[in-house]
Amino acid sequence: MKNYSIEVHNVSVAYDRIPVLWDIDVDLPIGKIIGIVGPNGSGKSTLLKAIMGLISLSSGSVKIFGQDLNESRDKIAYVPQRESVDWNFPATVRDVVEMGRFQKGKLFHRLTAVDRELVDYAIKKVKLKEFENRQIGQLSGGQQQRVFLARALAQGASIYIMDEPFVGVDVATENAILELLTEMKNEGKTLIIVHHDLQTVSDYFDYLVLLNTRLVAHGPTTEVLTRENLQATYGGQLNLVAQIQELIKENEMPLREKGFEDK
Amino acid sequence: MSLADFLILSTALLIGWSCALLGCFLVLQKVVMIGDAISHSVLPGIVLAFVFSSGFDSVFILLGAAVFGVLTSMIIRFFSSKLKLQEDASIGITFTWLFGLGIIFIAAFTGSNADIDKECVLFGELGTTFLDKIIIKGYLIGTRSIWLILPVLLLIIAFITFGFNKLKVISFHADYAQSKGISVSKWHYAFMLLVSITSVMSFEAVGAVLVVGLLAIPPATAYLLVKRLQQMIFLSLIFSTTCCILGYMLANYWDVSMSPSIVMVCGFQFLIVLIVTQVRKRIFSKAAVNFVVKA
Amino acid sequence: MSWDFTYLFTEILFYKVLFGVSLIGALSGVVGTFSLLRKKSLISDAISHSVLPGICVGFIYEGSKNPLVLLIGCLIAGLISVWLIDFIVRRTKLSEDTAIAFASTFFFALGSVLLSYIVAGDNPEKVGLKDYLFGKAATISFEDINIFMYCGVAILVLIVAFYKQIKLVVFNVDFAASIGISIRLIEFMIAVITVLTVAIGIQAVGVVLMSALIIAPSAAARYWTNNLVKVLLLAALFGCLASSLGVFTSGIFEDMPTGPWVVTYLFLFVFFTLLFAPRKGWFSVLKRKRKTKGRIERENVLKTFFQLEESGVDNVRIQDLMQRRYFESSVLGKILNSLQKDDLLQKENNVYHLTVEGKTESSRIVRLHRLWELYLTKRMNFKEDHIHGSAESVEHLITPELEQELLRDLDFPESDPHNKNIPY
Repeated sequence: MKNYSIEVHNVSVAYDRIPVLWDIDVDLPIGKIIGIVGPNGSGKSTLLKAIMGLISLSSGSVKIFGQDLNESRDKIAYVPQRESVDWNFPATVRDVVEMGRFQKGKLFHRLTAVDRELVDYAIKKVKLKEFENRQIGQLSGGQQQRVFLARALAQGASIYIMDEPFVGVDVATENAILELLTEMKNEGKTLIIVHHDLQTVSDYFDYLVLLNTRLVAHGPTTEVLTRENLQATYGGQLNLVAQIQELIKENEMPLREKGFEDK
Repeated sequence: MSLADFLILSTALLIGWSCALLGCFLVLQKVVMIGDAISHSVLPGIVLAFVFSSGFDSVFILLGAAVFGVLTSMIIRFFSSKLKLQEDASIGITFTWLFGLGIIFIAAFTGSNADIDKECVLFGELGTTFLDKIIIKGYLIGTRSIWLILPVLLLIIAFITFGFNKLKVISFHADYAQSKGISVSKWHYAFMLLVSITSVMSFEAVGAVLVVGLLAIPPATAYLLVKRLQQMIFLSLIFSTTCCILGYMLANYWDVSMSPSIVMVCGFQFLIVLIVTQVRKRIFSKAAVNFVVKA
Repeated sequence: MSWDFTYLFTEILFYKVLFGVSLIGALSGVVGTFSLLRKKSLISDAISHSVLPGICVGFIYEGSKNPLVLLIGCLIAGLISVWLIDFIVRRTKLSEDTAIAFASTFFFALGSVLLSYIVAGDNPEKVGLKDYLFGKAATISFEDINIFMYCGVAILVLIVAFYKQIKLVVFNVDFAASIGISIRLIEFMIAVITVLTVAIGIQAVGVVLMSALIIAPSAAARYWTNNLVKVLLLAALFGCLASSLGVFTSGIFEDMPTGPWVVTYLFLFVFFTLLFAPRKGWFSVLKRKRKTKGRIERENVLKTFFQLEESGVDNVRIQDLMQRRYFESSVLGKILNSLQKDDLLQKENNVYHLTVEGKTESSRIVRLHRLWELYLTKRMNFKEDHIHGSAESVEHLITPELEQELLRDLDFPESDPHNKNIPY
């Protein structure tokens, strides 16, 4: 039996009764740079949040290395979108990276010497050593993205989940991130990255998940990146689905009938 | 400094510190108005506590009033998330109603010769708290107000010391905290419970409206100056201390109400820091422009 | 507390108060609509606290409670507060809620200090100044009502004259700016009318509760209609109604203050609205949910009949249905009865048959189910073992128009992905 980093089984998610993810069923391999690609509003970030357990699923389940999320939180690191936080927050680069070492169970967790060393290593890895005592609002967009990367690195996870890490960063940061990603892949880490720029897809990723509310295709980049698949991901044809989504909201429809069993 | 001075000032400082500690996280999480709502809506519970009990057994009823405050934050959330009422409207309507209900209780239970003065509800009576002395075996061990707020302050200090890392992560990014397995909503309500307890216990001394000033203004002032959370907490404690002392002196000097005067000094302190930081920013950006032009 | 109904209807004083307070309520409803739609209703909380120092300075300057001077004091103080909030939000990293909390408590504290300074002084006119804290509707004089009227007319004229611009700014700031409307001017105008309304309102309900009168009427009105003019009118009506009820209540029960009762009625209005409003209200949503659930169950029964007949069972008994699909027995009985009543089903000796209409209806549902399955596999790349669940719910939703669209898109197919016939 083949091992997967993340198994997504029949996952559906609805915001305000409108389904944004519809019956997603996909297994992701280990040790690859995986791109989740699709147009705006196609549910990419939602899929990430579903994997991280940040939203409740209407149906389906997610397994990480064959385990429930709660048993495997330490193995998975989340790099949120840069815009999702207020960078005026009174914290230095080092403060934020240290957050990667906070652990759930311990009430009064002080950072140990080992923790500090890991934090140091992560900061150096993203080349922010000289900025480590700067307030995070005083950094450029690319540097802020690297702070988030360092925080994930410090966590020492096996799976890294990143939401649009290439948005609003300079070329230097983009290259630095790519270099880092390749290095991490070579160490056997799995990197799952939400991305919207089609131009760069074939350069960045070994494995692709094409998404547009439903799963369009998934597999190695060379196999998946076909004209038909892109057409299906980005081209229309969703008019019918959109109308169904509206009807579901209007009728206060349960997304799945609970307890039905078709014999 | 007389004994009365000392007792009153201690009360003010204990309340000011409690509020400053909590306020830092309220300001960073952008939920100051929920704190505002809580501090107003504990009024009905407090009135009931005053009407139906006397002395120390009322402490338990006061704690009941504090639960009411947390309930308010739940009602607000219920209205806005389940019934789709706009959040600002949900806050504005809920707390004004509960505050109004408190005033109605005062009118209904106490009549015109009220035990609880309606104005005291707004400003508190910091100046007279020293009259309610607690004396055991002939030794003065403080006032009722001090003994109400002191345990709360200690509780807050313990909560923030032990939960510092978690509170920091939650305030910075709730989603990230959740992804690390921290139960954000549990911490949120525990925190709101503390805000509620603080407003209840300091109610007699500073009243409903002005608690919010002590919660919001010193942390907001500190926020303008710092780059780390630890510094923000430390500075807001300092600002809280200075405005309590200055406000107290001013109130004595002009013979005006005490807690409004403290909050007023808080406000002026904020304005001074605001102006200084704005001017500094302008000078810096001018200098930068000059530098670039010269180069 | 004493009951005194006669007082209500004999005193001209009462009518005067009733008129004044209702006027304030209606005006607040109208003005509050704009702040609500801009999602800035809590600013009115800051404004209502902020006018207190305005009143005090006005009193100190004039030496008496000259309504006009106090009004001007309020206007200046309120506008400074709005400006300060705007400045803090634009220029610093502090968020709007912190700015509002700062402005409301700072100004309120300033006002309270001034108030206690005035009270400690020896100006005999100081009596009654404290009434602005909680409001005292009974003190409204004819002179006040005169000022209310002037302010009200001025506010309404402003709103009517700039209606188009205000509407654009409220609903779509960016578009308004792009066609050259001065956003700052309109925002300033909205601030002025809000402060004016608050300034005349605090005499009746007081500084602490005034914000409710601004926020609540429009929040309730918003649930009943989407048309801005209707929202404005309804908000005015709610504000007016709650105010009058408040005045009546405090008229009947002698010691009862007006303001808190006005706020209580407002809250009840909002609460009932949230429960009973059409479409968005709690009960309306529940009703739709139940209706949909009922229809789904009924259609599932019909579908099961079709499937049984398809697999060769002609004489359908209840146990056949239960075996084929899980139904709750009590629910199933009710559905079978209602199907018979609608002539979709016939029953003879405990054996059921679909009528001609019943067959048409049941084949329609099966058709939709299979069409959707086909659509999912053909157009949306679903695997065959993942389509049934989705079709189970979507079959109940597809309208005749959508069905036509599906048929055209799939070119009137004959069989579904599981090689079953699609019945027409």
